[in-house]
Amino acid sequence: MGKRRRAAALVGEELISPVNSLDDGYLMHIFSFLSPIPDRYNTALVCHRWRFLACHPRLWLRVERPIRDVTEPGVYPNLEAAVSAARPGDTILIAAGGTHVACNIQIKKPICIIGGGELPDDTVLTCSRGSDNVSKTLWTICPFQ
Amino acid sequence: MASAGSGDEKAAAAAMITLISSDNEKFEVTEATATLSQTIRHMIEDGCTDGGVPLPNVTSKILARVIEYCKKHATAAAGEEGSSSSFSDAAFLEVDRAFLEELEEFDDAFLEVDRATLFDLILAANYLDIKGLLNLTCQKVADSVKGKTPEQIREMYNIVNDLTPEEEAEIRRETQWAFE
Repeated sequence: MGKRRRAAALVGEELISPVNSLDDGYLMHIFSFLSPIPDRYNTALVCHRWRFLACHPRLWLRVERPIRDVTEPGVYPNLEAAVSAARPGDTILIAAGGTHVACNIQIKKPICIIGGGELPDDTVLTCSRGSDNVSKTLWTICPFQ
Repeated sequence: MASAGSGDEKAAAAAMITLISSDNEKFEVTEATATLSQTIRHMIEDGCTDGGVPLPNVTSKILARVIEYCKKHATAAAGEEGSSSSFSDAAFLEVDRAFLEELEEFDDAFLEVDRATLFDLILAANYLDIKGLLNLTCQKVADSVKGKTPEQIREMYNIVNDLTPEEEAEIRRETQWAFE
């Protein structure tokens, strides 16, 4: 296998880079170890393939108010749904605008939650015990496992 | 060379498995070492390891490294189990920490390889299904990218930038809020 790859490296120009001879699954596994900001964004700017993989919905879950009844993969109507769908190491982006109710969410896996918006108050999480704004704060949640 | 059936547990612990690399080199390892690989563990469970396990995807150079990793981590796992009963909690924690530190040092030294070898190790770890090794090697690649600009990453890995300036601008615009 190694030999075949090295032979391929001599033939195709874009295959010269051994890192790009890794399958998509490997690259995404590697990207999952990167903090979303700035490292994963920087990898998105490297080339087409890296952008596709680094921005792949599998690595990012989004919480957005549904405008219509259209469901997009990787988009969740509330934080609770996103948290339960997230796998360990995933990143959840919360869309800017308004208040998100975050009640009774139990997080038992390492995930990262990021709020969008220009100002800290653009994304607000409220729960019964008060509220937290999440814009620009990077919550890396690593619960006891 | 099947082990005799007396003292089942001891025999199982000492049972040897022969791994055969793509270039036909044979490696004899203990079952405890071999079963760090889920792939081989399943083969052993299915009883199809007699006459050796051919690994056509792994060269002898890479297999030797993988076995080195498995030996160390199998010993560490066995040591942890063995020590838990014979030490008080505090002493156990002390031993545990020493173990972990030693293991970490081993892993760091283990990863001192050139990039081609690192990628081959990733492929082998995936093929043999050794989760610890796969995560270790992928983390190493991720670390090499950490804190680098896209330009530095491209240079390091010899990647051609096929994004148009418009596309780059679009990505930057999309993510602007994150950098401010």
